[in-house]
Amino acid sequence: MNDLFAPLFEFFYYTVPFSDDLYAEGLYASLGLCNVLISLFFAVLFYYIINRPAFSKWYHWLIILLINFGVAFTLGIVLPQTKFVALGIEYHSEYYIFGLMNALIASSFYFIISFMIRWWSTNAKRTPFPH
Amino acid sequence: MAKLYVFGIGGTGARVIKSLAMLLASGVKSNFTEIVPIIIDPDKSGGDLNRTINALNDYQSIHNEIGDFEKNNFFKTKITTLSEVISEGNGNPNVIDGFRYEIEGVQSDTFEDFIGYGSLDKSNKYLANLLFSDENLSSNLDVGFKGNPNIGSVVLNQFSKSDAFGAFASNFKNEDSIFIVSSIFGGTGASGFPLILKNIREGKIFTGNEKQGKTHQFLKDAIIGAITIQPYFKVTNNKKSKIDSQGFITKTKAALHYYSRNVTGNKSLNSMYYIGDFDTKEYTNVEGGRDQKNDAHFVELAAALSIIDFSNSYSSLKTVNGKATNQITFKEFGIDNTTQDIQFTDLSQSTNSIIRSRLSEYFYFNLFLKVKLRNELKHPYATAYTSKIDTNFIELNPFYLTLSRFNKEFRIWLGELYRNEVHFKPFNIEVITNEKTKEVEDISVTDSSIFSIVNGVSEKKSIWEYTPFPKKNYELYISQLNKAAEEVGNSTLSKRFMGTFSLATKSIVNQKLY
Repeated sequence: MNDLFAPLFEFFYYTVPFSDDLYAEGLYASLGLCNVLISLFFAVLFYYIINRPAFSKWYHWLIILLINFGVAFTLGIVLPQTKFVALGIEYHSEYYIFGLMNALIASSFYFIISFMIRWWSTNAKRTPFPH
Repeated sequence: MAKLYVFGIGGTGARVIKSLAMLLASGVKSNFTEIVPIIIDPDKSGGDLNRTINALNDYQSIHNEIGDFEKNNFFKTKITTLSEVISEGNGNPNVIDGFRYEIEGVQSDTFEDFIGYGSLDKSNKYLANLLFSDENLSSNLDVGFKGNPNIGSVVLNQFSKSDAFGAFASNFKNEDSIFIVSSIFGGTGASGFPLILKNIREGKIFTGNEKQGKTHQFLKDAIIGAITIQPYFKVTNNKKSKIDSQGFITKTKAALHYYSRNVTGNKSLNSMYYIGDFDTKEYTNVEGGRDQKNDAHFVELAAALSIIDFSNSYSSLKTVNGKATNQITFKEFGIDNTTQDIQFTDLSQSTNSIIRSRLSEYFYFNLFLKVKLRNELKHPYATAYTSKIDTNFIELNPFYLTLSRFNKEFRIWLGELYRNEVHFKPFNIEVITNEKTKEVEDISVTDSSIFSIVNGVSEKKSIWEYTPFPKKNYELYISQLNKAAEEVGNSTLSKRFMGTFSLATKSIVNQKLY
C-alpha cells in the first residue's frame, strides 16, 4: 500500500529527509487510504445522502470539496506531526506544505469519485457540470 | 375500439362536454377507447360553445402526440371528431371537421322564414299562428331558441336529415354507444333531446328525396344513456330578453311529464341520469352570441361524471329492436354533506375515487408549469436526457404552447367552479378576475406550503421529514421529477415531458395527500 501511494505523494512533494521519513513510517499508506475514504465519504454524502435539488448546484459541490480539502489538509499536518513528534524528529514548514499537497490529492480523489458515482444520483447527476 | 358518441345539445350540453374534457385531461378513465363529442347548438358564436370547442381542439392535439405513451396518465382517452370517424370508414366530404354541427337554415333566418310561413296557405297559417306566437315567428334562430322548445323541436328536426347525422348513422358500429346531454329548462336542449333520441331509435336515414330511407340496425339497437339537467341557475330580469327564468320550473315539469311517456316510458333509453340544484346563482340575461359566457358550474362537472358512470356500466345494458330490454336505470347525483362550499371531503366515496386524485394531480402539474418550470430547468429531469426541456421548449414548442393554453383553460375552469354558487372549492386558491369584464382570468396560490392547499386534507408527514436533509414543497416535487425522468428514460420530448410529470405528480400526491 505504501509503495502504491508513495509515487503519487512524491510526485507533488518530495523533500529529503521529510519524504523519506514519511515513507519509512508507512504514512503514505495510511494517508492515501484516509484520503480515498474521506473523499468517498464526502462524495457519497453529496450525491446520495444529501441528494437534494436545492443543494445540487456547482457551488454546493464546491463547498463539499472545500470541506474535504480542509479535512485532508488537517490530517496531512496532524498525522505526520503526531508520529514524528513521538519519534523526536523535528520539522516545521514541511508539515504545512505536505498538508497542502495532501489536500490537493484528496480533492482530486473527490473529483474522480464524483464523476464515477454521480450517474446514479437522482438529483445531482449533472453536478458540478453537465456531461 | 368501442366509441361513445356524446351529443351535447345547447349551451349546457357544450359546458358539460367541457367539464368532461377537463376530467379526461386529468386522467379520469373511460371504458370507451374513443369519445366523439357532437355539439348541436344553433348559437355558433356562443361564448361558452367556443370555449368548449377550443378546449376540445387543444385536448385533441395534445392527446394525438402523447396519448398512447404508457407512462403518461393525462389525456389518455381519445377524443375524435365525427369527421375523423367517417374518414376511417367511407368518408363524406360534406361533413365539416369539427365538434359543432350546423343545422341548415338557422344561420340568418327568422323562424318565420325557416318554416316558409310566407308561402303557407291560409289554413296552415292559422295552424302556425296557433302553435307559435308572433314573437316566436319573428325570432332570429342564429342565437338559439331562447327557451322556446316549440321552436327548437321544429328546427332541430332538421339535424336528423343532415349529412352529419347520415354519416354518423352509417359509421355507427355494433359496439358503439350514445350519451345525450341536455338541459330540460331551456329551448335547445329540452327540444333537441327527445328528437335526437327518436331519430336514433327509428334508425332510418333519409337522403335526398328517398321515401323509404335506409335502416341502420346497429343505431336502432344502440345502448343509449342520457342526462337531463334541471334548473341550477336563474337569469336576471331583462325586459329586452325573451328568456325568463321564472318559467324554468314550469317548463321542467312539462318536459318531465313528456319524457315519462316518450323517453323513458316507451323504453327508448337504457339509462337516465338526473341532476339539478337550487337556483341560487343569477346569471346576466343574455339571449345568445359571444356574450353568453357563464361560469363553469359544479352541476356541469357532476353531469360530466354521469358520462363516466355510463361508460363503466353500459356493458350490462341491452336494446332489442329499438327498445331497452334492461330495467331502465335512473340515477341521481348526490354529495355526502349539503354545503355551499363543496370540498373533496363533502363528496361521496365513489365520486372521490374517480376524481380526487386525478384532479389533484392535474392541478399540481398545472401549478408547477405555471409557477416553477421556467426557473427550474437546470435539474436532471430537464437536462440529463437527449431531448431537453429548456426555454426553447417552453417558448417555441407547439406542443407545449397548446398544453399551456389548455392548462390556462383548466385553471379558469377551476376558478369559475370556485366562485360560482354552489362553490366547488377543492383547493385553496385565489381567483384572478379581469377588472373590466369580471371574467375569471386565472388562479393563484398564496399558501407557501403547496401540500396544504387541498381543502379538508392534511399533508401527510413521512419519516424523511425528520432527517437532517428533508425535501419539502416544490423541492420534493423536483426530486420526484428527477426520479420519474429516470423511469421514463429517453423518448420524444413531448412524451418524456408528460410521462415524467405524470409519474412524479402521481407519486407526490400519493406520498403527501391521499
